[in-house]
Order: sequence, then structure tokens, then C-alpha cells
Amino acid sequence: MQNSRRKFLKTSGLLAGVGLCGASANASEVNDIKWDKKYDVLIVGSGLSAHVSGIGVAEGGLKTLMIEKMSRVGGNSVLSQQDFACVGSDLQIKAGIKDSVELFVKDLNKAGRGFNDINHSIRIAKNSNKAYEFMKSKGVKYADKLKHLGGHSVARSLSTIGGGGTAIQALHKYFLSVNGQIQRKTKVCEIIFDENKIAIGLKVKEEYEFDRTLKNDDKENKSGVVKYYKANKAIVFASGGYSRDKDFISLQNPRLALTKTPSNLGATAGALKTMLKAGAMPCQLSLGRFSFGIPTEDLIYSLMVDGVHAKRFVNEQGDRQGLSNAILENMQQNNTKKFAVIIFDKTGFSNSHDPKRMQSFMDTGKIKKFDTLEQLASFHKLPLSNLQKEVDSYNDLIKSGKDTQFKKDFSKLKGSSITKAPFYTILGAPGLSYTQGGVKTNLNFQVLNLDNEPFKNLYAVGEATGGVHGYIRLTSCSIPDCTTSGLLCFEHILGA
Amino acid sequence: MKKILLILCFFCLFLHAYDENKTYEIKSYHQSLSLTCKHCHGDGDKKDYKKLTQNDCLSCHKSKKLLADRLGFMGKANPHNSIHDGTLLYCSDCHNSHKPSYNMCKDCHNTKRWMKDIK
Repeated sequence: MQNSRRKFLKTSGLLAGVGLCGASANASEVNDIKWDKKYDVLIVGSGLSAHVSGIGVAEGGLKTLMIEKMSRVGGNSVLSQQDFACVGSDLQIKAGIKDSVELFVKDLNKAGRGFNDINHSIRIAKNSNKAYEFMKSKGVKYADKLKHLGGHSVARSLSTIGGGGTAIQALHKYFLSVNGQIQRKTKVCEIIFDENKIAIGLKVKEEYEFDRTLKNDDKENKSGVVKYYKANKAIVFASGGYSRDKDFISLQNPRLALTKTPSNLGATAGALKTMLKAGAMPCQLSLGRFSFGIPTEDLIYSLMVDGVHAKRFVNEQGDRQGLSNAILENMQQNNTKKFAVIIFDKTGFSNSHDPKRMQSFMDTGKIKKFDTLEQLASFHKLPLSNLQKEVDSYNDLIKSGKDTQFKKDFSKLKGSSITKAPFYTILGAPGLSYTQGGVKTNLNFQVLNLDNEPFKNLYAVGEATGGVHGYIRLTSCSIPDCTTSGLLCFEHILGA
Repeated sequence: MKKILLILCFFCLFLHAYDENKTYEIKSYHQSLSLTCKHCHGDGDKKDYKKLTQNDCLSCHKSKKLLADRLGFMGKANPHNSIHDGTLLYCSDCHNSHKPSYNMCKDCHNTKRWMKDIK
């Protein structure tokens, strides 16, 4: 019965619109599968790690297909600036910067706070320069000056010229030139294993039309035609993170669900769930990394109040992860979805270290300007009397010279308080830009099962993997993660 | 089992009929060129019409390079050659022929200052 139904569905052409993505094939049915297409390697996703692993296997002579559920190529990689932390680069040597794998690992450990898998930290640091040379050889260009970014002991971050979009376009061109193929609007449904639990193919949906109007596209979208693709050598999940998946992150960590996200619309947990359904080991799915709409260096000049009672609740001088957590925790305590309001007066606003950027925020309406506190309170729907009281006590604290409330270093305020109009506001709205969680892999990037054993022929790279970075991902360390994982993954596939 | 299949078939036929009755209005700029359904979808039966691909668009609009060059004056904000996607986007990512188009830049950017609404 089961078989006749399958045969009917496969031959009738009625599959479109029936939405059978979730239904799974039994082991007994695997031998009956009529493969619609056959490849050596199937890659799920089309961002940076997909391109690095894809180029590697395609250049190694393997017939490779990249599938991307969106119509757009590149996922979050084309939105990213792609700063690239790298130890031992030609630029570091030229500039005489003393750096080492050990020092980079130390920085990674500090950010990871012991949540990170140290073997993966070492992997990133050790292979970062090799990955950088690989990227250059495939046409990605870097500025000739290094950046010394927050959390790094030395200047080691390379700037990608043109950002992630330009980099992916170069890699994509290279991928096609070595006979790599890509098929967009193709969504993975299920990993097919043979009787020995070796991954041998994917059930996918072709002509998938991602629908931005749906609350949960993975669940509600019924578009697409089911097909079966064979992978003779390997299946690589380079499927990114899930910062857009409200339903999923609410279950993992309600705090994260309060955030907005700058991630691309396709950053849902669909592909992750496909791996978990196959028995992959999940790792640290409740962690998130926050972006902040405004350079946090400038926040010292501001007063931050909560969106409900207009009460100050935190030392405004902090790092983005700390501030974001404080804001979200405060919102949870107040049981609100209203973000905190960050207020500058004229002096504080003009103290910004990046006035050009502040002006661009004014132009786009991200920063608002008010002549009076009344107008400010009315616009942000804050109780005026509370706000006035909070502003007065904040100004009094500054006059006293000591922040007895939250210990902000008032000696660095450069004359800022909340006294001189006009007043400027920006919402303290943490954005979820990266999810550290994913499936656990070994150092060959084989996905591990619940018994901590590698699946044969099933790999995961880049943001799709979990437990690599830990508590916070150090800035500019996604690129060395994506590139080195892609690199080591394709080397393992070619050697296997 | 057979019954279920039968119901499924009727359901699909129903969907199909419903689909056919939907209106597929031709937008003003294509109308002004006196284009009819056949110009894009061919001579076949209307019920066999399929969604067009990018190559169908380019059979009149020539090449993506040409379209990109035409908006070259927009520099980095050129949606046909953006810093994110270059010329890799599909026409249908933003442009629709029978329903309102969608400016994808708006997903992340406030485009009011540098872009008109697309039809």
C-alpha cells in the first residue's frame, strides 16, 4: 500500500501543491527510489561556506550541485561586510604585527567564555591564513590595511573589498567556471540514508517559491515539486543560521524572540530541522549574537530608559552583547515588546565618534530629533512625569560627579548630560544577527549523531554548525569559520 | 485508498479551474505596447500557460548587463547591479507582471530618498 501510494504520487505529477515535504521515506522504500538527478556532491545553501566547499569539490573533479531555497544567491553572506580575522597574513607580516595561533585562540576563548569547542577554535586560528590565500586565489579582494577590531588582541582583521556581496559574486563566477552547478528555488526536505546509515541523497522540492508573507514559511509553504537527488560522495549542509525563525527561537530562548533581525528572509531553521530529524546532534541552540543599530562607543554620552516606565536600568557604557542582554531582560521583566529609548542631548550627540554615520541615521529616520522632552515623551509614548524625573536625577548624578546608580564613568562624558535641546533618540533595539547553535560536527565537518559518531557522507559547515564560537562569536570570526570549515570539509571529501 | 485518490483528483481539478478564472491583467507599460497574453506565453491553450522564467523576460529586454548599465547612474544603489547581488537577481525577485511588484531593497533599506516605487 505504502509503495503504491508512493509510486502513484511520483508518477502522477500531482505532487505540486500537495506539500509532502515532511513525509519521510522508510528504509525499506529507499531501494525503490527513482533518482531524478545524480551528482557526486550536493550542497545545501549558497553562502560563503557553500561556495568554498563547492569550489573545492568541483575543482577536484566532482559533479557538484548547490541547491538554494531562495531565488537569491548567497544568503546572509551577501549582506555581510565580511571582515575576516586571520593570523599570519601577508598584511600582518608587512605591518610587522606580532600575532600567533595561541593569541587568536586566547581571544576566541575569551569571547566564548568556555562555551566554545576549543578544538574548533584552534582549527579556525590554524587554518585562517590558508583560507585567506584560498579566497584570494579565487578572486576575492582585500584592502591593504588591517583592522584592529574589538575583542582582538592585535590588528588581524582583513577587509573584503566591496563586502560580502562582491566576494560571493567572485566566488560564484569561479564556482561556475569549474563546472559547479546551482539550482535556486530548491528546498531540502529530507536526507536519504541507505540501510547502512550512509547518506546517499536528498529529497527536495524544486520550483519552491519562498513566501515572505507567511509567518512560518517552512511549515506553511506548500509550493514546489518533490524530486529525489542522489549524492554519490557527500551531502554538505551549508545552510546557515536561523535568526529569522521566530517560532524556533521562541522555543529555544524566549529572550531571543524579542529581537528584530537584520538577517536575510531565508534564515529559518528548516534545514537545521532536516538534519535533526535525521538524528544529528544539536548544540547550543539557545545562543544568539546581537547587533546594535548604533556604534556602542557613543552610548556613554546617552541616557537609556526603558520603553514603559522611562526608568534608567543600565550603565549605558557597555558592549553590545551586555547591553542587548540588559535591554531584553528588562523588557521581559516589564512584559513588553517596547524597546528601550536612548536619549542624547545636543552635546552628547555632537560627541559621537562618527558624526557622518549619525547624520545618515538622521536621514533615514532611525534617529529622531525633538525640541522638547514633552515632544520626545509623546512620540515614544513615555510617561512624561517619569521621564522628567529620570532626566533630572540623571543630571543631578552627573553634577555630583559619581554614578551611584550604575557606575558609569562620568569623567568621560565630555560635557554630555540631558540638558541642552535639541534632544535625539534612537531605539535600543537589539538585533539577532547570528545564531551560534547548530549541529555538532567533528573536525572533518562530518555531522555527528546522538552517539557522537560521524554520519558517513553527511557534512555541515559554517553557521549551520553549533558549539564552535560559544557564548559570543568574536567579531569578524564568522568568515574564518566559514572559509576554514569549507576548506577542511572539501579536503576530507576529496580524500575520503 | 482509491476514494482518497479520487477526492484528491477532484480537488486538484477544482484548484485548476479556479486558477484559470483568476484575472491576469496586463500592466500599463506592456499594454501600451499592445502586448497580449500570446506575446509572452505563446500560442498554446491558456490552461497550459506556465510561469515565465528570466530568459523569457530577456527575450525582449535583451540582457541583464544592458539593464544594469541603463541604471548605471545610480552607482552603488543600482538595484540591477547592487553591491549585494551584482546581476544575479532574478527579474521576478522584484518585478511582477500580473500583480503589484515588490521592491526587495525595502526589506532592509529605507529607499524613499533614492528610489521610486516600482509598478
